[in-house]
Amino acid sequence: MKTSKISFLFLGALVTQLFSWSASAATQLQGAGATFPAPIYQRWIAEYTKGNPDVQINYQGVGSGAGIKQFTQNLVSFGASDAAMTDKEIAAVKQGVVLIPATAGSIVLAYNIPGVDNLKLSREAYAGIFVGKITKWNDPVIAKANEGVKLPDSPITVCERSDGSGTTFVFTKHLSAISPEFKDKVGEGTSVTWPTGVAGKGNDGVTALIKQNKGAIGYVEYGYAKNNKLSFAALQNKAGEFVTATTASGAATLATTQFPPDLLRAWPSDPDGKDCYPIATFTWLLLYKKYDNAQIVEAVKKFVNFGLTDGQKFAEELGYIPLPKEVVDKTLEALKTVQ
Amino acid sequence: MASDEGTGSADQKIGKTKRRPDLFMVLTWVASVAAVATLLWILESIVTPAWPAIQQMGLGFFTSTAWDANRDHYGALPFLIGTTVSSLIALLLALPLGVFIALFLSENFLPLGVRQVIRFVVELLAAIPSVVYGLWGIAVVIPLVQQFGGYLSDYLGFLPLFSGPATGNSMLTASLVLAIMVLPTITAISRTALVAVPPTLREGSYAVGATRWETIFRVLIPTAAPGIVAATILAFGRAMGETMAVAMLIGNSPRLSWSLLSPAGTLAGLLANQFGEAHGLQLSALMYAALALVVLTLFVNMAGEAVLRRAEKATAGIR
Amino acid sequence: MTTATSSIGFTARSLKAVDGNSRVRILRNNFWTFLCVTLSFLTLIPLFSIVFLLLQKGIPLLKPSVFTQLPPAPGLTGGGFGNAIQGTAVMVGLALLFSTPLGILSAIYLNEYSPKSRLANAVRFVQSF
Repeated sequence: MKTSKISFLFLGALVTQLFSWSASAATQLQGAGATFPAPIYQRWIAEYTKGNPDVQINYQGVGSGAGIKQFTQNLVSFGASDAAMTDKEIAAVKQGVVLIPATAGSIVLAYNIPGVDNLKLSREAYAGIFVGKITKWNDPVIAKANEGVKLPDSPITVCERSDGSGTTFVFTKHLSAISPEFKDKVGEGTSVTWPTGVAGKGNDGVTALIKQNKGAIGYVEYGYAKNNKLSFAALQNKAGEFVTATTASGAATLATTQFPPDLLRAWPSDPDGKDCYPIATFTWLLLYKKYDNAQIVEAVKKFVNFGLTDGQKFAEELGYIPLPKEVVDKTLEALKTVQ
Repeated sequence: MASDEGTGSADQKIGKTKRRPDLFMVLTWVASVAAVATLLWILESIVTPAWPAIQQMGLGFFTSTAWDANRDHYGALPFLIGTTVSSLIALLLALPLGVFIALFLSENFLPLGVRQVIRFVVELLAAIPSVVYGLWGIAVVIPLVQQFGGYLSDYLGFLPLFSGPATGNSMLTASLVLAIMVLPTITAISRTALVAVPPTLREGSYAVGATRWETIFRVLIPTAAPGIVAATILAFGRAMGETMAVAMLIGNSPRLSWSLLSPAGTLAGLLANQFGEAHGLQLSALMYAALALVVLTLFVNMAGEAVLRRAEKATAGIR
Repeated sequence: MTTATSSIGFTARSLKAVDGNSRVRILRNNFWTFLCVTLSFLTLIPLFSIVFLLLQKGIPLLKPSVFTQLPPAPGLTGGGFGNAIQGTAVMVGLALLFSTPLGILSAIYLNEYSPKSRLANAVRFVQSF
């Protein structure tokens, strides 16, 4: 009896002590949303809290869909989404929404073919792969753009997202724009039914699938491909050129985006221009127009300001595209409307 | 304190006096009610959100094969089949292996020390968390299946079971890892059943000149059969509910396929993947799928427990 | 129950081939024994594989700081998963705190007060589920 009494006391003490270890910081910010920008947001958090230790920020990459949901249900201080928010979703948020394009990136088609380093995919090829029409790597459509490269006679394993994803949204938007067959068969959205392939959770899940399966190809954000040393294909853009994803080609695509006057929301689904990489997108931070807590809104505004200004210098290192100056100006304007 | 009845023995029903409820008794009663109430609460919180989907789709939910969140069209058949098939294949692999190990542990082919080591290893396998199995599956089983599956697909590809390209993340991979996860369950319960066989049966069999294995196959296993069946059913229930490891290995595909080498999906994996961002009809449909999973596992567990209790009663009297 | 296993030892030692039929039976017997023992040792393989994998990937990175520090931001190395350990400990501690008294109390009710009541049967059913 004595030992069990002692062990109960010990357990109770341990639990209480563990509670006190999670020190109550002055301000706690919770954010949730897309996995696409998660790496750079985490870096912003690490750098920002170094200079501002009284703020604790926590960001969870749960997918754009879940981010929007939690944001609407008032469970977080800010959300994040590659698919921004639809008018219907914005209407559902009582406090009003301010969309802030925080950073941008390219979506690359990373692949795992041993021995093939510089794969070129024409529009017909990559649309055909993802709609399920092209099933082997040595298909003539793929071979046409890759003269002299020995493509294996093995099946293509398409890797896609199993959860609701802004990355899926942007990618399917682009595919629907370039291929009527894809638009018809699959359509665009944060969660679509792909005709073929395996699915994983999050950008990191798809990255893992590509690494695990020989002959796999999947769509991930550029930073994930770069950090995991995956090869990715050069894609043919509208002008017919084969472009790889670089900061410059991504920036060229972003420059073609026209924002509507009152809302910072647009996607360059199929950019013209010789140097444009075909699949690049902004990704948004979702802030309430009106916050209830003055301390939180202060912290949120300061953090987002940091990200939009100093934070941009981490973009290239982590595989994102720094925001063009005009866009930064517009976002800082929009940030002022948050109260 | 009150009367001297009520000191636990249920078979002393003579003169059953009702105790005046004291605080302690009330506390224990509340605890028991809380346990039951929790289950009812869980069921209610699944059924209520599922109701719109149940109303809209009815039982057609389980025969439709298209799960399309974009077009608000939901059918759970591929996941239902995926759950059932992966669990069945896992059982197919784990049952013979588990029974043989149970036999090894209950007979004395090798000294007690060796038997204890194997028993310890099996119990360790039971203690490994699901996520670790998933990671191990990714690191070790997927490359194996890709290679081995490649041979299967090349030589036996004409069979629908092995047709199509061999992806690493497939039904086969998930079933293999599931088999190892349910192996300890089958082994433990089968061993208990085998050890519970009365020694007189064994001795009688040897007395008429049967060899060790003839005894095992013709006397021990038939006698322990109810226990082994119970073990299988309970393992089946566990395999059906397994989420993390399976979601990491099975490929999460909403398409039906005959081939074991293609990706598939399970109900548990579907919930884990899509729940975070679902709303409206999709959320309802997911809850409906959850309800199906709960009912399925409930029936399987009930059946397993029932068979187990009958097995214990059958061999209880013989000395 | 151990008497069951110890009383059957004599069978193996007294197997003797008297004629063709018993030779076959003894052969079959030995085959099954071999299969059974081999399969049992096969179960060591997955466990050793898992443990080996964990040790191989984990030991090079094992430092005391791993248990106390927070995960690093992407693009940086180092740090640890102290938050996960604390989270697990708190979660398990809380779960125990809630479930232990509830479980013990309802078990007492089941055994001491009214083992045959409807409530008791309901609790047993719920517990198995």
